[in-house]
Amino acid sequence: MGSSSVVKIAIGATLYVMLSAIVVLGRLMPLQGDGMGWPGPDLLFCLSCAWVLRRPDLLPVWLIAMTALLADFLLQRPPGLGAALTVIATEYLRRRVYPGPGIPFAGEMALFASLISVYYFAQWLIQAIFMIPQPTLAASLSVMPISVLAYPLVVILVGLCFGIRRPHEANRT
Amino acid sequence: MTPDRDPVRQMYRPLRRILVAALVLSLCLVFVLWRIDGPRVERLRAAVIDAVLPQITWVTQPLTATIEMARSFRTYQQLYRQNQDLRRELQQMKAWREAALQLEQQNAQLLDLSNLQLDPKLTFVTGVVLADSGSPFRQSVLLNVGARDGIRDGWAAMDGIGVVGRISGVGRDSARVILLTDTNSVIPVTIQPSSQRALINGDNSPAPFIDFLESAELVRPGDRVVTSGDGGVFPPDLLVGQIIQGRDGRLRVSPAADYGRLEFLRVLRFGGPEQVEGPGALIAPHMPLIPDIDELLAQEQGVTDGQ
Repeated sequence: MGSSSVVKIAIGATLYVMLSAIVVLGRLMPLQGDGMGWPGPDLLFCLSCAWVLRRPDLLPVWLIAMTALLADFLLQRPPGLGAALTVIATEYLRRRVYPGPGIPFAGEMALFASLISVYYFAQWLIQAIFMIPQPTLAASLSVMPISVLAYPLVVILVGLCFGIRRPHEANRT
Repeated sequence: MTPDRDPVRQMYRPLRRILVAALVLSLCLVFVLWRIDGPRVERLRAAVIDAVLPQITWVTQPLTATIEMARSFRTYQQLYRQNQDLRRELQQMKAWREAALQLEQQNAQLLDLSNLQLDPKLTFVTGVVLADSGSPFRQSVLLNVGARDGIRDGWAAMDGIGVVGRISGVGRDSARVILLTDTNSVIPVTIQPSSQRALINGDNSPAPFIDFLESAELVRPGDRVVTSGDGGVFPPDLLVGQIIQGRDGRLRVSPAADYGRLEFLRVLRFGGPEQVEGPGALIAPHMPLIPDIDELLAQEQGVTDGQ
């Protein structure tokens, strides 16, 4: 924990913010199409989870909170709700993974799948309790399977292109 | 790598836990604040979007243009067939144009004869579509005109042909248009040949459905739908689309506006219908109830002077 790690954190944070910006911009592009098709994967959540499971030390929690809050604002979602749930989810993952050697990839997939279901269900439930007009539960949960399918791709991208791997994997290779 | 044994980290762990809890709480607070005082937080949202989006258009604009070009390239494959279709359509249009010109002349004559005053023409501001809503469940677009150009909440937005939606949320340099297909969009319309009043209500499908229709048997698929101007939100007689019958048997509106390619939108300036206030001077002249005290004094003075 010296000055070199501060530089590392800064680089990691910049990378995370840039990737998140690309994801959000991609969703905001005025392409329209018919716009009514299958909803795309929630790449921002995939990215945050993959990152926290690999290098929790490079991604401070306030950065996740700020990015998610900004995404909430830009993507016309209830501000703060998605951000709070993302922070809770990533904190859970952080606590789960940090002291240990990490978990095998199959276990990680299962963990991610259950986490994202809980994430969307909680979001739907809270919006229902606060009586916010929203799509049906089935429609909200339809984001889940495609996000789970997209998760390995995000992991590969983050691992190969940006070198965000678990410390012991990085040491081995 | 055993960061847990690090004594400094051990010491900071409870502190970190408290900070994270505070962070989550403050985010929840933002959410609750939004729920309680929506307009204020929505204004904040408009300000955030206003600050962020104009900066990113230099990234998104070329990308969007490239993808749109690739898309239109795909249509070259059907060029010949499309050409034939267009030619046929053009023939029909020429016939219609002739009919329309004749009708226009007739209309002008009749208007002249009856000395009828129609609504003044609406002026408009044209904006470029900057961004999408970013969610499959919310149908809205963002324009590059805002409060600086005099845009106000509730004004109608059209593409060249039909109504696209209404302004909801205005920043300084940007404004959001809620499309007719959004679940929050409800507008009052008239269905043309039968003059039935109804509401059209978006439900995230490409064709919004018709609600509060009095006698559905008078309405046929293919009827024209125009705005009715009820409630004073939209100007009347803007084309919305055509009636179609959905797969679920429900009457729906197929919008005349091309939702696949929203690039430029016109925002119509509309101050709402003029209100008639008071009875006017026709019934009785306006009389002051209390006589003017100075006038009375002057009169009295005149009387005493005369004596």
